[in-house]
Amino acid sequence: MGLRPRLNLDPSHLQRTFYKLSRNYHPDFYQTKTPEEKSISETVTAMINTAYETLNDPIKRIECLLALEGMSIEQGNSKPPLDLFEEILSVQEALSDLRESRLSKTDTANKAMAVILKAKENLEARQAELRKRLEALSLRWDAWLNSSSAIHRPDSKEKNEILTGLRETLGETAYLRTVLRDIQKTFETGN
Amino acid sequence: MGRVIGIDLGTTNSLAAYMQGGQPKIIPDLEGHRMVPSMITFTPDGIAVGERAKRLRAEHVGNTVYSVKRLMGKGIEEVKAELSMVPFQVSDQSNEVIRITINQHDYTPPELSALVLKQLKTQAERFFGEPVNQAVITVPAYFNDSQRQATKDAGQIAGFEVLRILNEPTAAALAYGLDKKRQGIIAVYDLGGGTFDISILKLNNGIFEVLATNGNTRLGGDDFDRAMTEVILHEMESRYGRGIRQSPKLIERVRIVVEKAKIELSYQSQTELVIALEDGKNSYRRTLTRNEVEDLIRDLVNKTVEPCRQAMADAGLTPDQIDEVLLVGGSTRIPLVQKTVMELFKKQPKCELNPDEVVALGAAVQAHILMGEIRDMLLLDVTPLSLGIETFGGIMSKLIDRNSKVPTNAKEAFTTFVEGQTTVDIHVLQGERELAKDNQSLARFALKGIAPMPAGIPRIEVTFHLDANGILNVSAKELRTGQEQSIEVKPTYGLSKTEVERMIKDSMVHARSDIEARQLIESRNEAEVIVRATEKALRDFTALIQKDEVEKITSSLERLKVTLKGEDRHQLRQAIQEVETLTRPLAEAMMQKTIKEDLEGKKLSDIL
Repeated sequence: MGLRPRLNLDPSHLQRTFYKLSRNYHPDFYQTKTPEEKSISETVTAMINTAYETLNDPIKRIECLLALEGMSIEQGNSKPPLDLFEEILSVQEALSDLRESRLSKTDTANKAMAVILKAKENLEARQAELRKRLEALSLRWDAWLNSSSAIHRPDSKEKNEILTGLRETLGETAYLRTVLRDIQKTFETGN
Repeated sequence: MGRVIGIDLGTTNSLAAYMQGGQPKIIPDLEGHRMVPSMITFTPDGIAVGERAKRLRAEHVGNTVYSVKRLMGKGIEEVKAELSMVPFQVSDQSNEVIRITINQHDYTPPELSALVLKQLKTQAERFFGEPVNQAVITVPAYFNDSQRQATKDAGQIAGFEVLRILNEPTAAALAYGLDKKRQGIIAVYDLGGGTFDISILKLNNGIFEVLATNGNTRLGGDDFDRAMTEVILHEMESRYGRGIRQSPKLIERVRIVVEKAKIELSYQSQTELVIALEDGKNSYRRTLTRNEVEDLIRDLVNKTVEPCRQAMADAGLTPDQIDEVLLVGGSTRIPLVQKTVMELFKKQPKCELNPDEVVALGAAVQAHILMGEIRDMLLLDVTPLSLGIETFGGIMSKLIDRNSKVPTNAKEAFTTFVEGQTTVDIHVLQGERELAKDNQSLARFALKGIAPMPAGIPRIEVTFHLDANGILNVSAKELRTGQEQSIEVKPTYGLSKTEVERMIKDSMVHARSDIEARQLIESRNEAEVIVRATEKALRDFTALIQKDEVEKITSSLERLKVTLKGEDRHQLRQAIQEVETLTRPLAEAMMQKTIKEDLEGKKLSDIL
């Protein structure tokens, strides 16, 4: 239909479209209609909701694009940034030390805490970096879409590079997110 | 089609509202009460609901049921602690559904809630003078699927077609945003008798978009009452001995007095507690200050903070991005609660609408939208909890994330593990924890009738559909053949379809026996009046009639007195008829005598 999966979009335009579609199809407006119309409205609205939530989230948007391009991104794709691998391993170790100490102030616990706090800073910095990389790749994708090569050479090297880059970066962000969440959880609950 | 009403089925009080001239209004009862206490008392003369139940509760402690909402859609294990604090009996027959035993009869929470709903239905029908068969019923936003389903069941048992199960905070937002000038981000902080909800919404030209919701379905005014009751009982124990706790009636009196004190302390800094002791002579007295109560409930009130933070985080917002905070629920009248909210959101919360009524008013607005009477307002709500299935190793695999907009669908393909396997079992869960066992079990499904094939070959696609009520529906399809697959649904904590249908039927039978019971009572009252009047007439006017007539009247009067003690309304009506026929000559004679006396000594001109 001439629509291309762009990665940068105007959030207020997206919201307006979502509201407009909801006003047309939401089940609240089909309560007094036939069971058939009601059921169609439920199905269509479920699709609209999923579409909106996917497009409204930059990460989900990229995942959706990768799926459309046949590069499925499952949970297994999440993997550690290689250069940070050792640091992450030491964090995992420190976390288990901390859990065992039940957050009391032993020497081991203090040492573990220091390791984690330092690593946390590094990981967060990398997370921000990865986010920037995703933004840059998204811009590059849209630029490629707008260029004539998108039509004439649908399997160009540029395209593959961008998609592979997106997938790698996404995998690393997902991994770091899990580690950071673990740290947060241990700080809050002690296990 | 009849009227549609909005109902707030609360832990402590329930209300019904309707739309008039574009504005929602509360439906009062005959005496002008706007709230029906969610309380049921079983007396030898029948079932009392609402205000009457509240009046009778002190004398019928074991037979009075309240706070049923906290038991809706729950399994017995989850509410054990809760049940040890209430004065009613739980049947040992409780398995997937809690059953409360009263006079050797078991009632499920939906059946008990249905009694409250029926009271509201009757009240509304009396108010309008026409049948009311459709309703929008509200639930806490943080209610899970089982709790929503239980509420819907209650509505059906009460004789309603339940048009929508609506979230309470969003209902409040609808009432609040009825005049369309309201725009921006609002947070609804709803602390009621038994539940806590926080919802964050974006209001935009009549669209009410819920961004995130969170809460605690076991936190509310009841818990404050319990904490206070516990302290007072402890003090009474040290003053009067351990025996104090042996009396359920006394404990109930403490609870009632403490609840009243809690309410007073929202407006004054101290109050006097007076509790009559069992000996009937002495009373326990004590001054209770607001500060003391605040110290007692502070930890509980602070439990509302984390859900609020989580909701803001899920919505991607900070406190300064929230334009207004709306207070809902009776417990938000407590100054400490208001202070906590203010510190959390860094702004003065609003309570311009009555926090007890705003949810019912919003439900009436939603009812009007569903009937097609309002086209420019639309509520876009979310599911409060993630939905998933149990996978290998007891892990929960999420299919629908919390705060997803409803209605929504998730699809998942299943296959077989053993050659020739013909059924696949699926365990559906709701919650945020990683292990299946830490989440709420919703239901178990069996995909049956799979054609025997080598392991891993069949592909069955299951669609999980969360509807606009936040209630789960499941369908399945064999992908190779495209054939719809049969599914057997077994809710973990809930009534099966057939059970609900039986209860609806039962309640219709009861409706008939309820009418019978009322007619019997009315006939009895009439008979008592006749007995008294006839006895008096026989004493005062015997001289006016023949002796054998007096005997006939006396013996029929005796028969009436005997039937009065029985249960047969038709016999009673017959006996009344007999006495009335026999006393007619007496009545006429009395009439003539009175007229004669009246006329004596008067001239014709005085009369005409």
